[in-house]
Amino acid sequence: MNAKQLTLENLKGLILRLFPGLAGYHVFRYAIIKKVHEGASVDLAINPAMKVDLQFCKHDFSVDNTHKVKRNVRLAGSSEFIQAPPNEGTYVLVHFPYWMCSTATVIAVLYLDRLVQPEKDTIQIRDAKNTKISAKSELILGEGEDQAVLGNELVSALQTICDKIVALGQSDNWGAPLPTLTSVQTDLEIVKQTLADSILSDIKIGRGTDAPLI
Amino acid sequence: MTDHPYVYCRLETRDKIYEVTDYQIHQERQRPTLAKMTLKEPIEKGINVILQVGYLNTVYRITFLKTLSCSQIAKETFDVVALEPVRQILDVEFTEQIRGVNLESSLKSIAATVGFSLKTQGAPLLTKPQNMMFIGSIRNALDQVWQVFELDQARWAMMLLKQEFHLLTAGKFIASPVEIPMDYFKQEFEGGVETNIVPMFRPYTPVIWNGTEEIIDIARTDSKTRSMFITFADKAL
Repeated sequence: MNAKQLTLENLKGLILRLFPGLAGYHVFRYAIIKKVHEGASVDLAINPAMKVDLQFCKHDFSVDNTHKVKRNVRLAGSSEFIQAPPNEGTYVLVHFPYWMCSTATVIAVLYLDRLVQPEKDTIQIRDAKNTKISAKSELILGEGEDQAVLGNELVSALQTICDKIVALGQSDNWGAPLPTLTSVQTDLEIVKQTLADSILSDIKIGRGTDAPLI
Repeated sequence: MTDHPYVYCRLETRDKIYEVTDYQIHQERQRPTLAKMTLKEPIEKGINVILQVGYLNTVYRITFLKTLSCSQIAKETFDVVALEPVRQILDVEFTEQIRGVNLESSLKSIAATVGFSLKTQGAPLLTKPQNMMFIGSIRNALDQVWQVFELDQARWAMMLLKQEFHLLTAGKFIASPVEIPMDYFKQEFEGGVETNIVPMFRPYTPVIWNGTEEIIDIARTDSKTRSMFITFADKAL
């Protein structure tokens, strides 16, 4: 075979021989989620726990019927600590890292067919049926002085007042001034006035609406 | 050279046998066999024939070929090109998801798609189970299996006549290597030797040359020079 005889088909064959991954595994694919697997277990290389069943789609998001439903496809997250599997019917992007057929991974969720309201400089966690936020040692919502720090400041202020109430009418061996009813009342008044500053912030916690997305 | 047995070549169809006067056959590991032949009579284009090579009172059925073209050159002289239909098999669509499979099971699924059975020759290769998602053709699936299981020496071979798919874990047939006889030897070239025609010298066959074992990678047969050009497999590849 000389260069003149090389057809496009020959070239394709030669390139695929050199770069086998090019035969489909380098392309990101759209897919639609068919099932989300739930239940706690350790995510292992051969047996992912974060996994979904999905169906490949064509470039126009129509279902690609040449492919059966692919089961137990690994699901990647945007962060180690934020776990948010897509719902059934959500469109996602699938890729094969290292161009290998054993590495299929759902790498992103698309917002197709969803009501969205993007806001600049804003991370939205919204429209989820349940939102669970937990931390192992500290959970801080807010910034600087305006933190909701699990009521720490209120607790310490109330503890001071409780101590003073306990000490009411008791005598001190060292002759120090003892708390009187007046001084306790003054402290309570101060706490009352600064209560809002101490524990309130711009964080609003409440229940959203359960209305359908569209 | 004159005392070397005459090697003749024939094409066998369902109802006829065609004598081949001249032939050039290119056989290579993991590649379709290509034959350029001269026949005394025309043969239909696009039919399956069996390539026979006769040597020392034995007829070897080499493989299936599909005739690609037949053109008349002179009276009673027809040039025929035929190719082993390996490529058609490799191009068969193969979209299959198989989970937790090892090398052998993966290949079994691939072979079963075209109705072949899997035979393994050589020491079994220890592979970790993998979740495979094949989305292309058989050729692509084979390339992926080789890449995912990090196969180095291993080769596949298709035996079309037996409908068998072979996994040769050492890249060769498991047989004791045959020494290339010195009286068959013609000359040496880079990466191989030229010998008299011996049908048993096929790709994947282990032979001994210069005291070392080699695997035949390419075997080109030319009836005009009554020669066989044998290229050895590069072990570094």
